[in-house]
Amino acid sequence: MSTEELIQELKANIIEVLNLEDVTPEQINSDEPLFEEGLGLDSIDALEMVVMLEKSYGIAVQDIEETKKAFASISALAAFVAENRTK
Amino acid sequence: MSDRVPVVTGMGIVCASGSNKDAVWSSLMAGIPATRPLTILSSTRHGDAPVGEIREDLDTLCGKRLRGSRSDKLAYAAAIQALSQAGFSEGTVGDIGPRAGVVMGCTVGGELGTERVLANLMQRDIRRFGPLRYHECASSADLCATSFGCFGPTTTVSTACSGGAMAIAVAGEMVRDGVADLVIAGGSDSLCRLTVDGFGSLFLLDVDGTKPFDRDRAGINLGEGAGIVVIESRESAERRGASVLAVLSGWGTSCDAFHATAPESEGKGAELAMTKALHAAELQPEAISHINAHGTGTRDNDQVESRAIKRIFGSAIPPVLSTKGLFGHTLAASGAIDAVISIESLSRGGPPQSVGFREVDPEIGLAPVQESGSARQDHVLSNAFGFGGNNVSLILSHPDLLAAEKPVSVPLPEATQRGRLFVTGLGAVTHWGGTADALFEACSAEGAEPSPYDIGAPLTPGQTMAYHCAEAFGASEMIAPRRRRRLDRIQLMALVAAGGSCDADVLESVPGDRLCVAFGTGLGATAATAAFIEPLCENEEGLPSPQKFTNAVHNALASQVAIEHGARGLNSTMTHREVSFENALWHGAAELASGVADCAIVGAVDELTPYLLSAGKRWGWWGESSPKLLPLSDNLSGRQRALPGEGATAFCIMPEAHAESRLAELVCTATGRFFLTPEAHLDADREALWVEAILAEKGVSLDQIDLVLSGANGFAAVDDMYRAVVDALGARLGQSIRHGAYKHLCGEFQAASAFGMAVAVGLLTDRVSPSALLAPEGDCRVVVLYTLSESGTRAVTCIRRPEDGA
Repeated sequence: MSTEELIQELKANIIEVLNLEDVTPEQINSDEPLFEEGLGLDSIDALEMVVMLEKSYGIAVQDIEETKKAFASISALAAFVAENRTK
Repeated sequence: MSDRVPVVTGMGIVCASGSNKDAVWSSLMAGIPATRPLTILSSTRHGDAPVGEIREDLDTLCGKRLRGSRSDKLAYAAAIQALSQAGFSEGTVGDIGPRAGVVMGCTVGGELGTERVLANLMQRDIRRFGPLRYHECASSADLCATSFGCFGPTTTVSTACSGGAMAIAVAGEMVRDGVADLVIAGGSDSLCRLTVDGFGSLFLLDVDGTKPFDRDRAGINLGEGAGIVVIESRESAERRGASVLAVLSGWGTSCDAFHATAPESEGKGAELAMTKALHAAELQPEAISHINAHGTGTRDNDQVESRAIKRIFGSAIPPVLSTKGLFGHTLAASGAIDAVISIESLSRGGPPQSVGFREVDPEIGLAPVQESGSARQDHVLSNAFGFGGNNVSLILSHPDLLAAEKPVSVPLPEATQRGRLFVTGLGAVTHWGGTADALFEACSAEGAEPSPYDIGAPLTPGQTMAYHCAEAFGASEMIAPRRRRRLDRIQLMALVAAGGSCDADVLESVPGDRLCVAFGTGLGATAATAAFIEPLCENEEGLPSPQKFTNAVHNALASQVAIEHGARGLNSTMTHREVSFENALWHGAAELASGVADCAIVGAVDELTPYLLSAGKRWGWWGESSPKLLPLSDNLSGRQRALPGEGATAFCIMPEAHAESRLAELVCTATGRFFLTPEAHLDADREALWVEAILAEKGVSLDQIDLVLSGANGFAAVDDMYRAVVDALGARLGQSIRHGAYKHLCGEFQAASAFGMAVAVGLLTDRVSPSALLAPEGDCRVVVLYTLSESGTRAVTCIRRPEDGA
């Protein structure tokens, strides 16, 4: 899977698990912050994304603070997933 | 008035550190954590963190084999200790029973047993439904009330981790206002998968042991247990010759109105609760001898609580204790257990030591008590904060202060004359839609048509007829998508009803800290709870949604309403079966009457779920054959059954000085347990006397009642009880009193009495006719709402036309 495909897949996954019905994948800028500014996500969204990482990519998160760094943007998340995925 | 000062005359405690007060105190003084590996549950995802689990046999602690959940037994075990210390050695409160109440704080109730049923269901084993009978949080209070002979107000507070402290505040309010002379109050919660895996999914469990206020703190350790106090009026304690252990000299409640789980970062809500408690006790901060902090050991709580403490106490911060390192965070029990420890430390000359702390966090700059001291203790401030920003602070004072020159003040200085209370607005979500207008337009004697509801997996597939709310009840128009996306259906129902009840201009005119919310719910967010637990029960790899856990707490409903409207005053969630609404109404009204709030959004909500439908079907509450729900019908056969329903109703209530548009006057609302005849049937004659006395207190006589609106539901046994009471009231008056019903319009559900109050307001405003409520036509100026619950509690509420009470 190319980086671009992974980015598209992550956008779709995030919209689905976070129930962002008013957002389309095109509206998410891959380099914009996901939390506070940008999409305006919060701590509970981060936890839902952790569940998504385990379900879809087999990444079992141990340290939430470390993982949150990977949530800086979609690009950062895609790099994290590419490096750590087990499925 | 000072005769009604609430004092503590007995206390009991069960937690991992010990199963009675003395054992706990020795363990605390030794400073050894009682948290150990989890054994009560197997195959949890997050079972590797230590827990404060109780290893003793609960039947031994209770002194008998009881039917009930683990939470129920914990509550009972602590309550018998408290009663014994208060001088009730026979295990009942005896003659004081009619004036004695029970208020419990509970978060999970019988969830542990429910999870076992659910795990069996997942394996298609549907034989054991028994533990579901004790699923509800209300079960603990009911067990205590029936065991100890209490017939006064019996209710259950579910404000997550502040539940036990809130229950004690409610008890104080009841005693101060003369609703009861004595109240058994506290909290209990058992460990269960929902909370272990719930807090685990939030990454809030510290596997290395919790470290409150420490620089490296990384979360909580869960515990289980119960703390119970006997609160009574000073006058009652003196009359009985009971020793006073402490004075409950003040309490303050607030809501962050900020986020489902995270506290507001400056700690304004915590500060408001503490300030209100100090104000109520008429104390300056320097009078506080030590603070029993909530101090959970999470990054957020300890920092936010410290900020609030620093703003109030400045540079003179009294010693701060956190008990959480000793026996874990016992959730709803924690505020009550901490109250017991606070009271004990009044006589022992200081708090025990905090455990788990090593190094000051530069961002906090505060070290908790490291060794137990010995200094005179006058007043202890005890904090408990919960999910949804539900904050409670209690002040417990040394009994010697009762004799001091300046006695503890009661009631609050502001409660001079609040005057009458009025219903100023009304919102409803029903199967007709999301407005009260839709409901009023559809009301008719023919009632409503139920429609099929699919039960579906994982339960026995099949259909039941039910009155279920349409998919679209206005939530998408009223609530922004970003707010809506994380809310479950039951929360949306509550938000739409609450939104419909209050006018934007009215809310604008009330400062946030004087706006309060009180909601009742019988079963709470069962769907969210099930959604979280199902994947865990299904297989060991199941991954539950953290967000479902945050929605699963009962008080997520009221706290979401508070967030929506910026309501920073009292945030109360009452969960006591069919009288959940009346208890919430009482609490909101009491807050207004005490002068600390100017507006209350009060309501109730319950939702239909496959689990409720299956359990009810199995227990014969409803049958498939009923074409319609027919209350008060003359030819009910014994086989007739009710039909399930759901809905949300909310009211805006304001005191005289603030209420501009007035729909109805709220004359009174009262709750308690009904008496039984020797044949164990409801004693209708004594019931009529009780109703008459409650109304007479407010100057309403039986001849003024135009209609009694009851919860009759077409189930012959239920309708007969309501009929007997209304007939007994008529017999006392010497002429029959009109009897109406409302469940043919909304179906049977625990929050339905709030719907009943909505149609009662409709009667007074000429929007609903008596015949639509199955009553003879005629003018309606005073309406009495009367509700019975299956567990033996009941409530009476009186409303009248606003112009009549002047």
